[in-house]
Amino acid sequence: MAVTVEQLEGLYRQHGPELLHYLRGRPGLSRDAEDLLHETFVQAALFRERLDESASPRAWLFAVARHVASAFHRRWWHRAAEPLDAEHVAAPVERRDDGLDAMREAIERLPPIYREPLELRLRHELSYVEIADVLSLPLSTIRSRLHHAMERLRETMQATHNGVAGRDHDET
Amino acid sequence: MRPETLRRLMLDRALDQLSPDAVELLDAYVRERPAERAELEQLVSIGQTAARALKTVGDSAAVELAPFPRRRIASAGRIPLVRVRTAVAMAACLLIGVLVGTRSMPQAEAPSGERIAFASANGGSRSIWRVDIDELNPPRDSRAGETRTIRWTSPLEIPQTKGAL
Repeated sequence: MAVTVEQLEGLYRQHGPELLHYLRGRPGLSRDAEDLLHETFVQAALFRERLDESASPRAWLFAVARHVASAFHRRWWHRAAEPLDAEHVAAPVERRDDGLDAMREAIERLPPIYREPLELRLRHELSYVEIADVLSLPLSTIRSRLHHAMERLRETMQATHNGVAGRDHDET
Repeated sequence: MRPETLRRLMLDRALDQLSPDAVELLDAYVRERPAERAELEQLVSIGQTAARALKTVGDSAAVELAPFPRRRIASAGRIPLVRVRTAVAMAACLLIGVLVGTRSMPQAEAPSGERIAFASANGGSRSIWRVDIDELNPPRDSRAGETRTIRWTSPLEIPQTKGAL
């Protein structure tokens, strides 16, 4: 049986804030994130049979949101209207922690193919299987990309740490 | 355990994707191995810092959602009137075009043997781009069974016709 509009509204209340954050976090979508969230649920309503079949409605909604955001990006007028990284480096709550700042920078520098699954895993806490559903990729690819992302973060953080340690050593 | 396997398990652990049993086994394994234990601790620390760094970019709990787009969902399934009008207008244009086209098309006349004979009698001109009509299209009644070939060895030369009976 297909999901009713009332059930969809329940999913909107439950996962809406998270999806809105996901959309706002994507480059160039800061101003239109709310509209895209609504569009996500319109699309979800149109294809509600698939929502019913999906193992994880949350992952399915993320996948729909991602498709809606990608379709939005493809429209040339929006690409021209807003610089891509306007909101992506949104004013964070904790800006004073040097370790977190360095980590944010390291994550920003990751190629999108590594950054996206990492954000879905660590920020939105989706499992490997759910991420594979959202990105329409094999599970092994997701695992491998996440491992690469972690390795790169480790290398960057080590380099940063060594740089800071070297600077401190020079100052003394 | 192979180093690659251990490495993958450590990364899964840092990403919080190992089952509790596997975590326990992994922890027991690295307990006696200081180098591996240090590496695991470093990876777990990086995973936790990355999660904190990502989660503190805005706070989803503080987001106020706009009302559920019930009306937009209700109208989503319907085909917009503008699209229906456009489709009807295009179909009408197409129909009119086909009707006008079929009615105003001149009736094509099939080439008759007389015309070919006339062209041939008046001495069909022969140039590099033109070969006598009767050579290419011999009248069926008189030359049935005849074949003629055109031999054109170079684009700079006039094609040569050879009659082969």
